[in-house]
Amino acid sequence: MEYVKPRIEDSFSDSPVVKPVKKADLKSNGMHLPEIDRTTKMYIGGKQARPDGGYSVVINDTNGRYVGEVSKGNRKDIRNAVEAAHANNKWGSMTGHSRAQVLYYIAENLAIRKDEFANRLVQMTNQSHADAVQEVELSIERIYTYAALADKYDGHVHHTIHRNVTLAMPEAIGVMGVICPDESPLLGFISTVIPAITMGNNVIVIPSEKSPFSATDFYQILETSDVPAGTVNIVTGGKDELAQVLAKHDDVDGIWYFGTKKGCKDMEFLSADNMKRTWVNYGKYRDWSDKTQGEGQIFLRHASQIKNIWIPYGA
Amino acid sequence: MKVNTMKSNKNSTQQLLRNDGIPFDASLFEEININRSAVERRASTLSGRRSVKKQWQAAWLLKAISCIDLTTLAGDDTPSNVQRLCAKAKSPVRLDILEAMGMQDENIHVGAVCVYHNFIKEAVKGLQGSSIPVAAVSTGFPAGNIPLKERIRQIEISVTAGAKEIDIVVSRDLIIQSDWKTLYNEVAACRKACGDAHMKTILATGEISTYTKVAKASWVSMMAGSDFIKTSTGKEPVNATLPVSLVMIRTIREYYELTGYKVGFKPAGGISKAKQAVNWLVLIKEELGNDWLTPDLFRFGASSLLGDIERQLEHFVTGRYSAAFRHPMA
Repeated sequence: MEYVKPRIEDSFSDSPVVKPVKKADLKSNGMHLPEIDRTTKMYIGGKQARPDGGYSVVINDTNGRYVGEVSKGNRKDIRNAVEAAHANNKWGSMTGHSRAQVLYYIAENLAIRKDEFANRLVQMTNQSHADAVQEVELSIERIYTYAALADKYDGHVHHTIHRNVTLAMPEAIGVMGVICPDESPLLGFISTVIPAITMGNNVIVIPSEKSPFSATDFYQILETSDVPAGTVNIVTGGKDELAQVLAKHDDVDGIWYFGTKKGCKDMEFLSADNMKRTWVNYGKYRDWSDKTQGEGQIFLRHASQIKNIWIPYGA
Repeated sequence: MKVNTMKSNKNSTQQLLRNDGIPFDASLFEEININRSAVERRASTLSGRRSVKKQWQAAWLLKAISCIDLTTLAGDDTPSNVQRLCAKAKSPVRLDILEAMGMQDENIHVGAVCVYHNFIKEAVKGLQGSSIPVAAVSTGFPAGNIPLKERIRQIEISVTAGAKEIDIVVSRDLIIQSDWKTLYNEVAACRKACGDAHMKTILATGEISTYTKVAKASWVSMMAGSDFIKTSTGKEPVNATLPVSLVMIRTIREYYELTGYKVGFKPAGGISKAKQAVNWLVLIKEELGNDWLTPDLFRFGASSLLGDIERQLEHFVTGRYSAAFRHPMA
């Protein structure tokens, strides 16, 4: 079955858009391996949480060299994350203006740790340092963009055939699953998570499976930026396995998926049971560093639902 | 997806010997000294263990439902809220879920409905046609700081209005001042006023500073003829915890060994998750045995617990995590 699709999707790539990779070279690999082994935890309900199963996954860089280990999440971790997201009623009830202040704060806190995040990107993806710095800078800029829109993405007043003032107001969807693209580990994470929370949703995020450390490093930014616990919950591990649990969860109201064509089909199929909102990429890949593809109000549109209020007038 | 019924759990048909109390004897509890770190260690091993899973988990959760005192004790209670609660008490789980488990003919309902005095009549009406008793909180709930005479009067009015179970609160000041004899007299007077209605004595452990005093207060309450001892009103800053429950349960065991009377136990307040409910059932099974795992001797005081259990049961049946709005409101 074919859907009507926005024309811009024709400009998307058929394969993931990645920065050129440099050959293995110990010296240029940004950072040396950390001396103390640290397996990252997951981030659930504002706390760093150990995985329910107790397993971890080894992560290698694009040249196959060991980078570190992340927690291997399972369905129980997704369940806990959804519970934590529902328990947070602070974020959604804040005004758009207050949410904007928190988002600006996130951007500021990321800005002062620019080098650290750039080095991490080099370490995981073997791209050039200049490209990595550019990805972090674009990420900061993107957070600013959505922060500015947080209290300016207004609804409409519609003309209707009857005597009504009809207000169309965007509201948060509720609890959303966000499955991030594998490419652009930081920018892909920011470009999907930030617009979703800008509209007041609480999200369960599955970050890049191949390069998850930008997301796990981001816990500390979230912790220091007044983001209420449960707003962003991050579960690392097998992308499609976790995504399917989210799609099958009846208490998740919306789901975004950026990945393979097969994954997209699964998301739509499994979400049908409770009719959760889906937004998937149908196997087409955005260039996240291109503003026309990687940001815009379309993201906010998919992170909100319209409530129409019909107000009759005249006595 | 079938859940087997355990016949051994259904032997509560034999009449339970009601606790008539024993004369006050301070020597039975004066020497008690609770080892707090040992209590905390024992309690923490229970919830830290791998829990029951699959059909066994579902069976434990159904057992938990039968032990719930479905409670509404809020300032904004209304007659229609209470009626809705009663409907839920009679039919706590969606029929299709019960059918999927083969439990539709097991007459699953909660242990009791617990309301403020004003709503006893409403609750009795709402529970018509079922065997579910109405429990009422009495004696100046939750603080209990009114004269004894008025407390007695309240109990009498509640019993007349149709309450089959009375939850009383004790005077915390007597416990804090270790005035055990007066406490005994007060609880015994309340028990007398209850008549045939079962009496649950709330110790409000969140307002008692030490486990030693909790144990002594439990002893005094049982000596004075309580049918149940209950942890909390649900209105204290700290409500039911596993360690405090362990302390109370051990006194129940000792009292049983001494007198032959089985006194019931009711944790209340803050138990809102299915997992917690299973932890408490495990505690009871390990400390008191299967005899106590019946609504006659064990109850949860809870309001939102049932909703969480329903979600877990639906997950057991369908394999999909459930949402609260998929189940009728309590």
